[in-house]
This record gives sequence, structure tokens and C-alpha cells, in this order.
Amino acid sequence: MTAPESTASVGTSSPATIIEFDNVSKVYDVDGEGRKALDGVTLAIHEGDIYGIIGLSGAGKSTLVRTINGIESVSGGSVRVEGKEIGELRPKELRGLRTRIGMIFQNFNLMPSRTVAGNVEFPLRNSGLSKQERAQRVAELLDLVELSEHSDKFPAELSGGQKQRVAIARALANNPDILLSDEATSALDPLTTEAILALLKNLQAKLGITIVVIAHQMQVIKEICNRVAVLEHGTVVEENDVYSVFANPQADLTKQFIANTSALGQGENTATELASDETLIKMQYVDQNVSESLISTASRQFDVDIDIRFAEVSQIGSRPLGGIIAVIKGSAETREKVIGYFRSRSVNVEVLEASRA
Amino acid sequence: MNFLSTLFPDVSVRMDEFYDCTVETLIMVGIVGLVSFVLSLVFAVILTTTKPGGLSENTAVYQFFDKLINLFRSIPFIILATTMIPFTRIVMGTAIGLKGAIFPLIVGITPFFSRQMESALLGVDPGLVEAAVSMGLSKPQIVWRVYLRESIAQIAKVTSITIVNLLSMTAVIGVVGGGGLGDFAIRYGFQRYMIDASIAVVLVYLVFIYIAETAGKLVIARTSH
Ligand SMILES: Nc1ncnc2c1ncn2[C@@H]1O[C@H](COP(=O)(O)OP(=O)(O)O)[C@@H](O)[C@H]1O
Ligand SMILES: [Mg+2]
Repeated sequence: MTAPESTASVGTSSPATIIEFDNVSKVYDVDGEGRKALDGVTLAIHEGDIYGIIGLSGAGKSTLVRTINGIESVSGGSVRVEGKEIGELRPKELRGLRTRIGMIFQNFNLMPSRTVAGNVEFPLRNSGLSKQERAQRVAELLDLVELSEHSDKFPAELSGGQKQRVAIARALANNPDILLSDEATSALDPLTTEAILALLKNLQAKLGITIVVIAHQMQVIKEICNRVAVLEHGTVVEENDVYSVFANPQADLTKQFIANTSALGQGENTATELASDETLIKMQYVDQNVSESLISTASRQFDVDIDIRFAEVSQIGSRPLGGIIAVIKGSAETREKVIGYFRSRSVNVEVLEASRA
Repeated sequence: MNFLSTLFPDVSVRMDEFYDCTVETLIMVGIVGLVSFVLSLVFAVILTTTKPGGLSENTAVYQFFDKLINLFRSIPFIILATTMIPFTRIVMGTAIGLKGAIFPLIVGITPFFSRQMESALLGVDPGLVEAAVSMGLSKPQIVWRVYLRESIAQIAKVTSITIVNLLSMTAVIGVVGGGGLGDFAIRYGFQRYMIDASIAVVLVYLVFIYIAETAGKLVIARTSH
């Protein structure tokens, strides 16, 4: 199955492109042999996006995101940020650009010898602000991430979530236009992850920045991103708005990622033995009310038993996405008709298992 | 004083000379330590930044310093010190006494100190460097604010280890007329069988080593969070 190539933005008044990858490739030299980390990546990230990049470990996510601030050079293609070609910037210009691109990491990367305030102040040293103005800015930032009372502590005295908050404050110090997050929640427990994701989303709304979020869990993408690219072996296998990806995943890898996050996905595996006249289906729909009445209508109209094994509604952005796993019992012909009926009502139906009888 | 003169009869009659030798050793350790500290820090920064994957990767520079340090480290100090006598004369004007001891000691300890410093800098989490790069810091700023600043405790540790090594080198340099406590121990303890002279020197060395280690631990305790 191939992914849609489209990078067109949603909506009519589409915001400007802020980050553009054009056929980007990266080959690392490993003991004299080339190891391809990125292979022909073409993507556009728009202003105000919370853009997710998901993939398994080693897919090239970190490499891709590091080409945005030029920490990693590209072997081919080009990366443009705010219209500037990263590869053509002089070292000084590149450093200037980097002050306007914040970055947070899985391991926080706070300076252990500096206090919380010292860490947040760290990137402000080059900003030309006076000592007093810097202290003022640090106070503002710590307030923003709700850590004011910890300003004199050292990183070792903080919890993981607090450390990541300090790192976020530090990344925002110079009022960046872009925030890069490389697995920022991967070292955190689920509750803390929720809190950090909520903070990122909040900051995006408050400051209007563009956030690029790397994750290896679809949950993170679902929670905060508006668009997502799925990376596999250095290539983009799927790219779309998050809702469409969840509602109608194209690539096998995307389906796996989604199955792993939703209880619905787990439900698929709990299928019982099917009788010869049964088909196990997965339905995904946008409007919950319609679909529930659809099932009763269908069972009446076609005179079949439709047994709901599992149902779930998940929230993606502000839109609900419903899913049902059900067994249709009836003649092969009728089962076909039922599925056709559902599809005609724009319910996405996937046959998980059908008896061959 | 009576007690001391019974225990250390040969030292107590040469108290002034013993005192002068102690001061000489201290001056040796102080000057050599300071010069070598700066040199080693520079070498360690060069090695750390030019090594493969480093901030300013440069294989030629890295290989040069790496090999140079290994070459000097592989020469036993007593051989280095004697071989260097003509060079010492050219650089310092003399090859004996305090003045003559300083140059070979610097050459002798710096390779060791540089390796120790290098390992201290290598202890800095590469993630911190990556974060600093991503914030737009220049390379000198990264060296200063990340590599050096974040390894102060490790630098203190390797410095105290190095001073202990340097102390034993100052004793060796005494053999080739370098002055200091080593010289005192050779002239009286070894050549004239005055056992108490050797023991007194050993005791002073023990005190010096204790001070070096304690100072190191204090700095480590104050800079670790
Ligand atoms: N500095 C490097 N040198 C050599 N190979 C590297 C380097 N960095 C990453 N790679 C390789 O490139 C591929 C992609 O790595 P990475 O971008 O870190 O993936 P991800 O972040 O998705 O886990 C992997 O195969 C990895 O081993
Ligand atoms: Mg990674």
C-alpha cells in the first residue's frame, strides 16, 4: 500500500510553510560503509502546526529533526526554515537561527552544575540582555512552566517531569518560532507525559509557535498533533492530518501503531473462533449516533445478527473517532450486503476475519 | 625539640637544609603543577574537540597530539629526565637545582595530566554539548560553559591524582641533582645511610599527599550537585 504524497494543508486560508524538507537524504559513514538514515524525505510543516513524526527506533526521526537546526547536515536535498536554506547559512547565521529554534530532549540535557534558574538563563547569555533583564525573563519563563518555587534547586533534586519543564523553559528563553521535541516524553511516566503534552499544547496556543514532535507512540501524536508523518527506514510512508490518519490509515506501519494505542486494536486480537457463517469486522466512524442506529437498522433490514464485541470512542484533537468490533452472522451474501451498506454510509469497514465457508 | 632530635638526630642537625628542601619541593610542585595544569587543559580540550565525532573534528590534529602524548608517556621518567639534561640547559640555563628540575618535570607530568584531563572532559554527557549546540552557542562558549564548567569536579579529582604523581617525580628528579626533598633523601638517607633522613622525607611526602587529596575532595564536594 502506498501513502498519499500530498502535503497540501487543510483549510482555505492555509498558514505559511515554515519548515520544508525537499528530497532530503542522509547517509552516515559507519566504518567506511554508508548507512542510509534518511531517503528522499519531502515534507512541509506550516506555521502553528504541532507536527508529529512517528516511527520505530532507528527510523531516522532524530536525524530528520536535527537537520532543521543544522545539528545534522544533509547528504542530499534541502531543508528550508523560514525560507532560509539551512545548508547555505554561514556558521554565524546558523547559530543565530538556532537561538530561534528551541529544542527539548528525551534525557532533558540540563546542566547539572547549574540551578534551575541558571539553566533557563543559559541560552540568554548571547541575547544582549542585561543581567537584570535576564533575571526578569527567567522569572517569566519559570512562571510559564509553573516552577517558580524551584528556581534555586539543582536538576538532580527535580523529578523527570519538572526537569522537562525546566528544559522547555530553557528552550523558550529566546522566544523561538519553532520548538523541536525529540522524544521529550519517552522517559516519563504516563501521567507526567500527559501533563507535559498538555503544557506543550498550551504553549503552542499561547505563543503561536510551531512544534515538531518526535514520538514512537501514537498516543502522543493523537494527544497534541494536528499533522503527522510516519517514518520507516528513512522514508515517509504516510503523511496527513492526524484525524485522517487515525480514521483511515494507509501504511501497514501506521495501522500497527494505531492498533497498539487503542483498546480497539487490542480487541482485534481477542477474536474468538468464528462459526462458518460469521465475519469479524472493524468499523470506524465519525458520528457516533449514526453508527449505533446503523447497526440496528442493518440487522433489521438484512435480518442478520450483529454482535458488538467491542466499542470505543477516542478523542483526536477535538473530534471524536468511534470504533466498533463486531461479528456479523448470516449467509455469505447477506454479510457482503451489510458491509456494503455500512460503507455506503461512510463507515470505514475492515474485515478482520471471515470464515471461508 | 629534644624528642625530635632523639628520633631524627641527623635531620635535626640539618634542620635549615631540610626546611629549604621542603620549600623547594613545594615550589616545584606549585610551579610545575600550575604550568602543567594549563598545558594539560589545552591539550585535553584539543583532544576532546578534534576527536572523531567531536565539536571540531580534525583527524590530523587529533592523531598528532594523541601520538605525541603517548610517545612521551611511554618514556620512564628517570630516562626522560636524564636524556633531557642538554635541553634543560638550553631552556633554563642550568640542569641542576630547582631551576633545572622544573623543565623536565613539566615535560614528564604533562602527558599524564593531559590524559587525566581528557578523561575528565570525556565524562561530560554528549547530550549537554548537543543541547548547547542547539542553543546557538559558539565552540569556545561550549568549551568554556559546558566542557570545563561541567567537569570541574572531575578536573579537581584528576588534579589531585596528578599532584600525587608529581610528588613522586619530584623525588626522582632529586637523583639527577634536581634539589628538593628527593635530593635530601638521596644525599643523606641513601648515600650516607642516615635512615632517619629518609623517614623524615617520607613523612613530609605523606603530609603533602594527604593535603592534595583532601583539597581535591573538598572541591569535588563543593561542585557536585
Ligand atoms: N552519528 C551517527 N553515526 C552513524 N549512524 C548513525 C548516527 N546517528 C544515527 N545513525 C543511524 O541512523 C539511523 C537513524 O537514526 P536516528 O535518526 O537516531 O533514528 P530514530 O531517532 O528514529 O531512532 C539508525 O540506523 C542509526 O543507527
Ligand atoms: Mg531518536
